[in-house]
Amino acid sequence: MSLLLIALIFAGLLFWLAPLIRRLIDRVSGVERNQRLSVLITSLVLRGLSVGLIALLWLGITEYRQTVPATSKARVDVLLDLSESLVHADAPEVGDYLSEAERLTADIVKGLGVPTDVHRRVFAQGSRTVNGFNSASSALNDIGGASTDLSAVVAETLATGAGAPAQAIILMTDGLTTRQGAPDDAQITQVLQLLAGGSVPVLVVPQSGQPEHRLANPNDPRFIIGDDQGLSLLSQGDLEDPLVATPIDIAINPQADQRVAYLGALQGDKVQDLFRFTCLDGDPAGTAAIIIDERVETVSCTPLILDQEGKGSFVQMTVKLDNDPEPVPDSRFAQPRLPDTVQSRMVPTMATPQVLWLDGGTAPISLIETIIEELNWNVERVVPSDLPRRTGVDATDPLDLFDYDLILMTDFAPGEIGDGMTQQAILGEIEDFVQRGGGLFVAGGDETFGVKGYAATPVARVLPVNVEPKGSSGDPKLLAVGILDVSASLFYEDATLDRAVRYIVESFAPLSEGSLVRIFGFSDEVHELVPLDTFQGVEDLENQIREALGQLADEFERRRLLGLQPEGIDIYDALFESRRSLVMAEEAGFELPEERRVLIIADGGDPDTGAYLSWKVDEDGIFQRDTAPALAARLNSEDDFIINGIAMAYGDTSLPDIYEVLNSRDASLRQRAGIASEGFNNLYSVAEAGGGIAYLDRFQIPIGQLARRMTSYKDERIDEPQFNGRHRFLNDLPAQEMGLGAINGYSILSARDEARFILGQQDYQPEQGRPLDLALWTDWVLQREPSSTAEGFIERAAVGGRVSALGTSLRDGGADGSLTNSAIFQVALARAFAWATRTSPRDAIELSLTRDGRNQVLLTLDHQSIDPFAPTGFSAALHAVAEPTTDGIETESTARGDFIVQFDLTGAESRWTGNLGSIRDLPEVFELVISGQGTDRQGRGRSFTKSGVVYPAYLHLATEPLAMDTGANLAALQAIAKASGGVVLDPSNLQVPSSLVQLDQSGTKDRVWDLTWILVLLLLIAIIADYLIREYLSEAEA
Amino acid sequence: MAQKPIKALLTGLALAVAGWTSAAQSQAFDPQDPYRRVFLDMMLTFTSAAELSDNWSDDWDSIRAARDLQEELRLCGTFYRQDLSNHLLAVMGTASDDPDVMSGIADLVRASVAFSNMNEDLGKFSLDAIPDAVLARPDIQELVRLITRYFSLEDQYFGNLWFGEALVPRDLAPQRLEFDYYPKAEFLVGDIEKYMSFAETAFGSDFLDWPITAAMRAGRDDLARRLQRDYDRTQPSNITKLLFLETPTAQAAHCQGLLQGVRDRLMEQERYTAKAEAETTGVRFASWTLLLCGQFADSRRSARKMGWSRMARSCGFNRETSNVTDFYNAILSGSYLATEQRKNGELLRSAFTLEEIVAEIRQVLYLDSFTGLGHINIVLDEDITMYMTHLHGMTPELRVVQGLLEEARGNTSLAVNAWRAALSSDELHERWIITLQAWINAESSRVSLLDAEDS
Repeated sequence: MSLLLIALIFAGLLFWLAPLIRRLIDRVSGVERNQRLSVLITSLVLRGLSVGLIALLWLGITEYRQTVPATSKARVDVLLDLSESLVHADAPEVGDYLSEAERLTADIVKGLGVPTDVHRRVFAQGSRTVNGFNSASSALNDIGGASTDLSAVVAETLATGAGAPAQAIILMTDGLTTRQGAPDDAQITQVLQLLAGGSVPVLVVPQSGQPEHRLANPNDPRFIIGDDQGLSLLSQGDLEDPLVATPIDIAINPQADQRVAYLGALQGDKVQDLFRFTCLDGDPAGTAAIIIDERVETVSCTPLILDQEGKGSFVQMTVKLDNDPEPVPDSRFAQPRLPDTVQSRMVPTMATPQVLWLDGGTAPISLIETIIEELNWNVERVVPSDLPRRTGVDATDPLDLFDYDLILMTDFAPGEIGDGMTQQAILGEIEDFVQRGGGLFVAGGDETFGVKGYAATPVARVLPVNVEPKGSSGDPKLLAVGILDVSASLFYEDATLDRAVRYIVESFAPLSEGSLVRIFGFSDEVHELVPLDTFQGVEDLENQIREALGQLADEFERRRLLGLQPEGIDIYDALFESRRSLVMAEEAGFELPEERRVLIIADGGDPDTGAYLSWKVDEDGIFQRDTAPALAARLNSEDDFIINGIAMAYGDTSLPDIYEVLNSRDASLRQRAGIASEGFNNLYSVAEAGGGIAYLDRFQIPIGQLARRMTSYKDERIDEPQFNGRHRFLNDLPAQEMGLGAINGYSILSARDEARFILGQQDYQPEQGRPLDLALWTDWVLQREPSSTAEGFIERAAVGGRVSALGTSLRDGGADGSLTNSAIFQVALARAFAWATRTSPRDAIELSLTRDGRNQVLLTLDHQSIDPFAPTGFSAALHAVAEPTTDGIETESTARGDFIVQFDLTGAESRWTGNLGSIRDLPEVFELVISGQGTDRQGRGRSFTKSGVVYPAYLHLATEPLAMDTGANLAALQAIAKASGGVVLDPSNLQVPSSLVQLDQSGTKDRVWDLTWILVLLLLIAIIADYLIREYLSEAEA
Repeated sequence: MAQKPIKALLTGLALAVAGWTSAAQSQAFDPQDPYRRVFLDMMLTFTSAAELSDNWSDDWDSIRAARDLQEELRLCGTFYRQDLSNHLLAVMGTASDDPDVMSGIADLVRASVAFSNMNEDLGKFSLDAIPDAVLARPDIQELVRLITRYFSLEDQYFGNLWFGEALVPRDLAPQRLEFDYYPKAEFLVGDIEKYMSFAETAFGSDFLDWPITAAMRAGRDDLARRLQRDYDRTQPSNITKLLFLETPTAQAAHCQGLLQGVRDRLMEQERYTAKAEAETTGVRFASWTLLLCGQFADSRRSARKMGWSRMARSCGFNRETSNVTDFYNAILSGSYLATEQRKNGELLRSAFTLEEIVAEIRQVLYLDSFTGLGHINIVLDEDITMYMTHLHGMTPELRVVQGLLEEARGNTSLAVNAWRAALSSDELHERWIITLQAWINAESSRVSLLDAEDS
């Protein structure tokens, strides 16, 4: 291209200089000619040449393209948290915070190692772009430090950064997200959703929050509030029940001098001692003050139990620190000096726990009754026979699990909960109940955790222990032979045969993998139903049996027409045939299991003794008599078979208990029992000789016991317990690293820090060290952090109640030396109940009242209900309150003062807000009445009204108090970093991963030259040249 | 005369005993104690005691023996035993004062016991001792008839054979013995040539099975064909016709008619239970018909059901061996069932079936030994040689059966040859290859390598 350009320029020069060159040549060569003609010709030729060139350019190339390397810059957004939990404009060293942020920004950007385009932004409730953090102090006052809206600033940053070749966010925050002074965890979820996928990595620089950055007087004493259910909330307990003890966590920082902290409720301008409180691990019970000493590192009182007698209402509570205690304070509560040392809060409250006791035993367990009574809880005991009228669509007295806080299940086998549908429904509801925060305590034996227990039921998903039937994995393989009586007497009794098949299927259900199964029907000959093969699961087995029985029915019909239908079961030959299974197994190349079982299901109504007798003649011609029991004994002793039997009774229903039969006036029932027991007696003798047992087909075959007999157990004691790997709480957790100790029976214990366990071994003494626990209950659920799926959806952190499981029955007789008689165990059990019960109210409204910067009193109502109480509206009404005139006189008046104003709250679902107006317009004290309307789980209308006295003057300004000195919310920050593909950086030791931001610098870009103007230029030159030539020529002519 | 009081006494005793034992349980099955022996022994005890006493109706030993006999009959009576003992008591009641008659009766019973114990000489000697005058008495003739009927129904063919051989030459045989029981015995356990003389004349043309097969066994095919033609004329759907039909198609077509006949009989009776069947001859016929027509599984089922059904009755199977025929039918059909199973690929199941059959052969030989193995000839020479090989061919499994039966008949070399032939077919399951090898080496089946219970 450049050649063309040179040619063009050359052409232009030639064109312009042509007459002169011509004359120069003429002069040098001495040729004399007609100047005019020669110049004319020469210029014509040259001009023709250049015009041609111009034409060529014009037609061919109008632009010139050039490819050059592209250089790009990554967009780096630095977001600096300026909310009150970190900085305050009045703090003396706020400048340090900002300059440190600037320094960190520079270091990190440098560490990224790529060309960057840095955008700085400060945020709290709102956000602002700044040129440099050093000059950002002016922004402190207008971005609303009382809240932190992290999700908004992240969303905004992502939006503005869209289209940048690469973007990274440097986030400097403590991870505390708040709204109106209250924590707002939903924001973290939103942030995670925004960032999931990892296209914009976030480099998180945790800010731990230095007091000198956020407090005007950083050396003043401060309270540390523990859990988020701490003092900034008011929770209303159950809507109907009185408030009871509420645990809160509180800690107070060490002080230079001895001081006294008081805790109480505001009454007027005095802190009134409304609460009795007990500091479990701190001060002795009953005091209202906590002495803080400089020698003590931190006075902690967690949990602090607040007792309030009397009707439920929310109470404004104040914690006061007395900086200058008198040796013995005259008055316990001095005048509060607002706002530095008094923090006004609303206190959460809890209702009396309601306990549902599902008890599978015949008589109540007195220990449980005693404990519940001592705890002063309400308990309702429900036994299996109650369930029909309490469950299902036509229940007369419906059982709503969500009316309860804790469900106790003792010896309550799933098999007792009606048929499959009812069972699944109820167990599913229990799972739902736990996932919504309800507590669960399960104690039981084999029927609970073992075979036919809660394995594969919804309850298994919330139990912390593995209730996998032991036979299902790792247990010895079995050879299990089922013999089903298909003689006409049973085969054509549909209901009875169906039940017989179910008995086989249920007994074989817990067989271990790799077991060999064979099922044959027997009349007076063999009908192979399920040929000997490895166990393929119980469904497969049932299908095969049903299918084979269907084919057998056709065959029997054919034989019936020939008069050859099957009659009577030849028990002897059936046993003989079952022994042949060993040969079959060898023939088929199976490894022969050492454990062998036979289950005979025979018609109890067939008392044919002859079927139990046999004789043979040996090869020497010697006659030999034999009987079925003798053969069974040989099968047992020589071939290690264990033989069990069930004698079937005719009818749609099985026989009830034998005593019931004997007492019954129903002659047909007695007849059925009598007939069935004839065959049963014979079968029993066979089973007994075969090392097993026979059951009469009664209403409840203890199928669990039978299945246990059909399966095998290596040992009742498991040296290496297995966690239920499919447990939802254990997702992704390294369960095998949890250091499990030995367990007994089916119980499991854990040494995991988060899991507390209190039930100890029988004679456990504390000095023996850590107990070998019989039980475990878990609150891992509270520890899990959110994680995002591959699709970018956030799996919400599992929320749920606590579950405690005791691997043994509480029905041990209570004799001396028994578990339930142990005092330690009794205390432990009470604590287990207390631990497991719901920690947040079933139906609760959390009410926050705060002042904002404009001194408007804001009301936030957070409605939480595990029983999906769907609120349709909340309203708040203000009533005047008369100051109590005389102390000591209790007024029981329930009449409200004069009505002041009423307004509806705005919101939806769980969160509702309202504005009570300016504090100047409100009375000094007023009664706030909150009314709610909604529907409950069953669609019934439900409403409530709660009231409390509010002193607006003592409401603290909306601040972010919770992270004070507690450091950054690292769990949330790490989640953000993980979800976005970024890292969490340590500000004191910056190690910026250089590969985090990838800029593709190998790209190129096209540079385009427009040649149109060159043509124009050439034309201009041509015109000018033409003019010059004409001038020259005319001059020359002249 | 003391007859009437004694009769009254006997009757009273019998009734009292009957009332006393009415709640007694049925006897357990006891093949070690074949009832024929007990029954005949009891009769002999009674007659011998009566023979020795001056007046047996005054003799308590005799009366006690009579009472025991009656009690046994009450517990497990069959019509032919009942008839026999009633007649015996009647004869002895009327002839109690005649020592010759009493002695003759005792000799008659003694002969029966001897024959039943397969003691030909002692029995014939006892019969020779009875004077012609006594034997010629109508009541004694009736007694002989009832005894031989008992032998006939109890499959004790040697008894009838020897009764015939002793009495026919003296012209003192009852008609039924001379023209029915004795020829049949000759056919079954005696001399086939002797039987042939009766074949054409002694039997009605409505039942020609035995004469036809006898003619074939005797090598007189022309006679057999002629008899068969007569048979076909009177009863078109007869079993022996299968022996003359050569093509499988024709056999199958004929079988269809036979089986339809069985079904028709069942439909007529409208009693479908096997119990009802067992009380008719239909089932025995059915089991044999099904076997001939190749319905082996059903044939075996039918034959075994016969035994099963009898076992359920109060004493039938327990004290009888008349189901020996069913046993053999079950064994023959079972051997072909084993063949079928083997060809279907169920090799192990086939081996098991063959093991069952061998156990059944041992059982049936044990039972049959009490009758002098009266059925083996029929099974070997007729059932297998004529029917089975003609209709279904010889199979290794059938050769195993054949060998065991030949061994029981004393033909060890034939037995070993049969087993060798079975082994050479090289089709049997390994379990049986080992067993047969052992049998051949030991030239006896009295070695047990693989007991049926072994695993």
